[in-house]
Amino acid sequence: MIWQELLLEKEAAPERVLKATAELLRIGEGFVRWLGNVPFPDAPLADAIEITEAPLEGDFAQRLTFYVSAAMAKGFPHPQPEDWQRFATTAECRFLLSDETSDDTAWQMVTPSGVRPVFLDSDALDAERFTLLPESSLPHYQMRFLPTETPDTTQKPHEARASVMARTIEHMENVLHLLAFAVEKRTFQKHIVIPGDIIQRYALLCAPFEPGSVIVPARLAALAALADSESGESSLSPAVEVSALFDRVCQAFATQREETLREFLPEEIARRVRDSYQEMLPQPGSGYTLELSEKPRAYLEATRPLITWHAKERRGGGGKRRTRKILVRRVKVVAFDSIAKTVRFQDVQTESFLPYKYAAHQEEDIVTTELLDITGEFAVNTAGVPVEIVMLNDISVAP
Amino acid sequence: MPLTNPPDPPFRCPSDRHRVQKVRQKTAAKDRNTVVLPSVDMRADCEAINRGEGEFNKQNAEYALAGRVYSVHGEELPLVLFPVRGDGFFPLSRGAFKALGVLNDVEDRARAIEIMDRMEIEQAERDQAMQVWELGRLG
Repeated sequence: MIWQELLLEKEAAPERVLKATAELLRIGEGFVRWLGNVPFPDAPLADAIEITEAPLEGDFAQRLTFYVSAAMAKGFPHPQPEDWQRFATTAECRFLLSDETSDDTAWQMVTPSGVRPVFLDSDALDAERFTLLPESSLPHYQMRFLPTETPDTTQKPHEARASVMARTIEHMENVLHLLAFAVEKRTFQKHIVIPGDIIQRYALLCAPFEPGSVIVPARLAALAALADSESGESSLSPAVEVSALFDRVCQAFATQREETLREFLPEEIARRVRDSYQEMLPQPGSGYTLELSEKPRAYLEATRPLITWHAKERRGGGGKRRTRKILVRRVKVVAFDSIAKTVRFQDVQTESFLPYKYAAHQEEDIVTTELLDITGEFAVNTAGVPVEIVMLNDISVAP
Repeated sequence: MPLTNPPDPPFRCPSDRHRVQKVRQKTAAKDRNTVVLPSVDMRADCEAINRGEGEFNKQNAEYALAGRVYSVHGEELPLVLFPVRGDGFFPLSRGAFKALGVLNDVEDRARAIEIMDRMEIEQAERDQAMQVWELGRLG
């Protein structure tokens, strides 16, 4: 039977696909076979999953078809979005996966950073080309500025301060640029400087207020006219990945778990994203709070599931601005993911949890049941308890 | 009698790629697919919906007309209708859809069955594909 079909943005290395498939289905790599560009398996299916490839035209280069015997398929797990996301990471590709509808233009784009709904161009499909619709495939946001105090009597209910709005919009775009920097795997020396081509290609486009409201409509746009990235790939699917990352950043802030940014972003970028995101929120005393949401799709009167979060006004006294200190902490490893390269330490003294995304060379030191002494820069809360690892310089087994 | 306001701008008619006889082995299959018999006049349905004669379901953005249900692709105007379910529309699983592609591509029936054997397409899916393929040939 055909277990699954994936439409890959670019040709994937067979060995990466085999590894990713084995991980996804929790089987040994020996049970996954690459058949190459053939229309179907040339022998009866045995006790293995067999993968064929075929070229595609448009924004997607390769179709993978997974054949498996019905008996074997019965034992397969039902992959969840995060499992597919991990598949994308291991296979080093972005791809389209069927959604639950029979609309042949509506798919889910799976990226190493998350899963987002996208739409293909119906006219292009008629010509057997798989081309993303740019405006439908990227999110539309709404920024609603709500006064926290009784406005001045001269201020109308649908007016908001220019300085508050401008700051929010500018920093939201900055967050998106930082995420694009991460998605495109750009490198930096000491400090991140966002390159001009990223600023030009990834735009937060805003429209005028909706009548009688304090809602600023905005959408992420991949401006293809301004040339492709250094890697030569189109901006559209990277922009879909940027929006998936933005969802995760917002989720982290909505649940007050900003320290988890480090689990999916390189350390320095995570720090900058956190700072910019905090700048995006109305400042204490500004008199406003921000409600940022993803707009329901505009067609007809139907709605789609929203990702909504409320950015609460910051607590006075810099509640979210934590002090940083160089410390040595004794910790134990309480959770560990060698694929995502994340570890969750627990501070022995304070019992606070310290998630950390580690580098490959640190794995040998981290995979242990022994107590560790870790040295580095930590964010500490007002009580002086370490709540986040900013940078880790040394890991050693506790004496 | 019009049931809904005519859409503005009017919808574009569904593509012929949804027709039974247009499905090929290489056509991308989803978990769920809908194919349309040649006898269904999708253009006439589209024009009727554009006159406001379809019954609109706000919950799932679907138009019902003459025993058939359509929805719209994407969000970029003008919106394009596509078939969902109803008279002359057949929902097919991934396997049945692929089997239909084989039947359309391979004239030699014995060879088509051999290919479906290699793909291990289940009997129920083959039967469904065969039924739809036969109906497609009858027009």
